[in-house]
Amino acid sequence: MNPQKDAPANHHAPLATEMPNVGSTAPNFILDESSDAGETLHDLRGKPVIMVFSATDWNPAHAEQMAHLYNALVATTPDGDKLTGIRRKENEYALGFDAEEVTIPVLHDLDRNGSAAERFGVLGRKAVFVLDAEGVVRWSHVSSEGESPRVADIVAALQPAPVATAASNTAANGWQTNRRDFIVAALAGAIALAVLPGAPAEAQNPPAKPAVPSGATLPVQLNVNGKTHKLNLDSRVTLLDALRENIGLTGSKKGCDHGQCGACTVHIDGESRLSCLSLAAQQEGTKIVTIEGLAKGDDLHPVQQAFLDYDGYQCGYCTPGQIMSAVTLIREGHVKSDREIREGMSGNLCRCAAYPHILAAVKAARDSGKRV
Amino acid sequence: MHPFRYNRAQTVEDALQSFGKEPNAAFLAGGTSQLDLMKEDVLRPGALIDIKRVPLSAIMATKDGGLRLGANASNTAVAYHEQVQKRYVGLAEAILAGASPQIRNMASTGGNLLQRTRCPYYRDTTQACNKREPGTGCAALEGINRVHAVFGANEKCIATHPSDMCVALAALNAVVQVQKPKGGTRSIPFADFHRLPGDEPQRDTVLEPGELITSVDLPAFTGRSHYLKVRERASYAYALVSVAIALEMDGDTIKAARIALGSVAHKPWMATDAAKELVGKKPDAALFRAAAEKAFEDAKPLQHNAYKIPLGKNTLVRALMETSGLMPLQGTAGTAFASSAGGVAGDDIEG
Ligand SMILES: Cc1cc2nc3c(=O)[nH]c(=O)nc-3n(C[C@H](O)[C@H](O)[C@H](O)COP(=O)(O)OP(=O)(O)OC[C@H]3O[C@@H](n4cnc5c(N)ncnc54)[C@H](O)[C@@H]3O)c2cc1C
Ligand code: FES
Ligand code: FES
Repeated sequence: MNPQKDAPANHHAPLATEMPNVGSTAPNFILDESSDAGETLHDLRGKPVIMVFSATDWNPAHAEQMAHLYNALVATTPDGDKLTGIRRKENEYALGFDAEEVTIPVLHDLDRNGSAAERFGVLGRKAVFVLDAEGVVRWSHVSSEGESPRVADIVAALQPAPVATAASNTAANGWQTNRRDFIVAALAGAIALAVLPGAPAEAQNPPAKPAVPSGATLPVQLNVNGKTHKLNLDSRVTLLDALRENIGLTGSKKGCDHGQCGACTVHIDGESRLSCLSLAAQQEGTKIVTIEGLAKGDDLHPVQQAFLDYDGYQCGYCTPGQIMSAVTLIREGHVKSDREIREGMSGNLCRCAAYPHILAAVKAARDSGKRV
Repeated sequence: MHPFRYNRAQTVEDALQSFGKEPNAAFLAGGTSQLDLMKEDVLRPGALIDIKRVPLSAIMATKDGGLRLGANASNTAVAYHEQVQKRYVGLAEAILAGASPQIRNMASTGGNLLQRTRCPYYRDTTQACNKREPGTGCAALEGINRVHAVFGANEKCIATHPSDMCVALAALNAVVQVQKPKGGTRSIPFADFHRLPGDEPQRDTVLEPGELITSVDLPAFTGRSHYLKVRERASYAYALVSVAIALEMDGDTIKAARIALGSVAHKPWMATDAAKELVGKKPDAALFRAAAEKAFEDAKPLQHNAYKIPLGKNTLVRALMETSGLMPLQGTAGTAFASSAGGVAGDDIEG
């Protein structure tokens, strides 16, 4: 347990610092308190800087976030500029253009419960700030718990020319005087999208532009729970990440991400499969059903009802996967004995060890006389 | 994961051509081995050629009375196929004792043959591994080598091949059908398909880059086959040792026998001499014990895996007893209940 996690909620004193306004100088702080070098934010002046408060979910190694990045950059690159590549090096992003490479420092793992977050008035919240080469705040985006940014708003805010409206706490003042400034803003916008998940899938399609040169992103059409979703994804995006991050169906869980736990189980063309070991691109033309697609309106699926009735879970993390597996197991008739059920459910691990109740729930659903 | 280009092939030609055009390409079938290892940065192909749409999933009779398993047929489809359940029971038992329903639904016949080792040092990019990066050494030699090989290993590599299905295919004398990239086909007997580490531990099989498996063919077989797997958990774990048997009887004497051992070598290990000892004799516990001694005569234990030798012998004796009917199967033939030594998940619980 991290006691700091609850800090914002229990903080009765007023926040020490207000959020710096766009146009004001950003407060200074020591970048890495554990190092002796004592480098501060102001030492980075001379280059624009992006600051990201989101220690928990910002992981640049994750393909879906790189995909957002590509999408937003391609969508907003001014005509005439051709983005040829994007790489992450330590704390910088290197963006390749036809003839040159531009690097932008990104402070991407600032603790959102730490002292820097307090100074920037965003304690406990996810936020992105863009500072220009003089250390002046030029752009910011903050999200409270449960709030989702709209992709369209961010893209609009990124346009090099001043735009009239933007999301309430997003400000764009046409400050981007050169390409570098523009890229910084675009990158920040992309990070904001990635850090603040839950953006509606429809909005994710960038305006028509030539495909990303590296060939690493591709249009992918997925049929999920009877609905078609048109996405533009990095080739590395797994079905699980596409469902959770791009489509916003977070019922399928990521337990191990390596095919070992079953938390990500979905139905593909009627069979239980692991969405973490499948690329989204592989699933074009298949019919995918997730846990969200089982119930008919308010009527729970018989297996869902049985898990409720028999307490087939404790924390519930493995439950969507357990239910998806149980449904196909019953349909396929491999539930004749307890040992057959246990063997058939062995690909779904339960960290809470709710196994006896899961078994009881599967038997109850089997015997319910309802169509599973 | 390293960036890669994704290509989808619709036909065999398409797949071969795309492979040829892309530097450093890899085929992708079910993805359960390939993507897992790409996520670990162990494999870093520049392009994936998705072959799932290539029409290679049929399971059909061959002219000479055998059964052709299309390379894209799922492990589930093969295990429950009516002909497999009837004539190649040991294959069904091997498949169903492996992985989980979800994984077997995704896993293909071709992919199962080419799944990579589960040696933990291979999967850990901070460790030396000649299979992952030739020339770097083998961290398992001086490391924890409990799950490693007792046959055919050398100082370059002591990894084992992890597949259950392949052990049964070796005992059943299957043949791997391959399409060559520049046209033409070739047939590879199963026992020659996987290789020992030798000087090139990075190569698991004799397949050349760009060659596509189109099917695995089972010859006609009228005998009894059986698979027995020992693992650390009751279910959902790789084998510590496994045994596949194919026996053909002539009245009450053994006419022909094939024995394949799993998780003891870099490939399914054929105990050819031990099998020969059985021919022309009546099934008998002492005979089987002698054959097991013979099978493990040349086994060479490492620091932590000496247990595999007695365990392997006992498993072999028991598998032979069960196949020949001297001992009852522990569960219905053709299911995981028959092949899981020690029972399956929850067997010790009421119910
Ligand atoms: C958690 C877990 C547990 C498992 N447990 C077991 C177990 O107990 N027993 C067991 O035997 N296995 C087990 N497996 C392994 C599983 O059986 C294999 O991963 C699976 O069979 C691979 O098939 P695939 O179609 O997914 O292959 P992929 O991952 O798609 O491909 C594997 C390799 O084969 C190549 N390839 C695929 N098809 C062809 C073709 N037609 N021609 C040429 N090359 C091709 C690919 O390029 C790749 O190199 C387990 C896997 C996981 C993830
Ligand atoms: S998240 Fe897919 S199996 Fe664990
Ligand atoms: S209910 Fe907590 S992991 Fe299964």
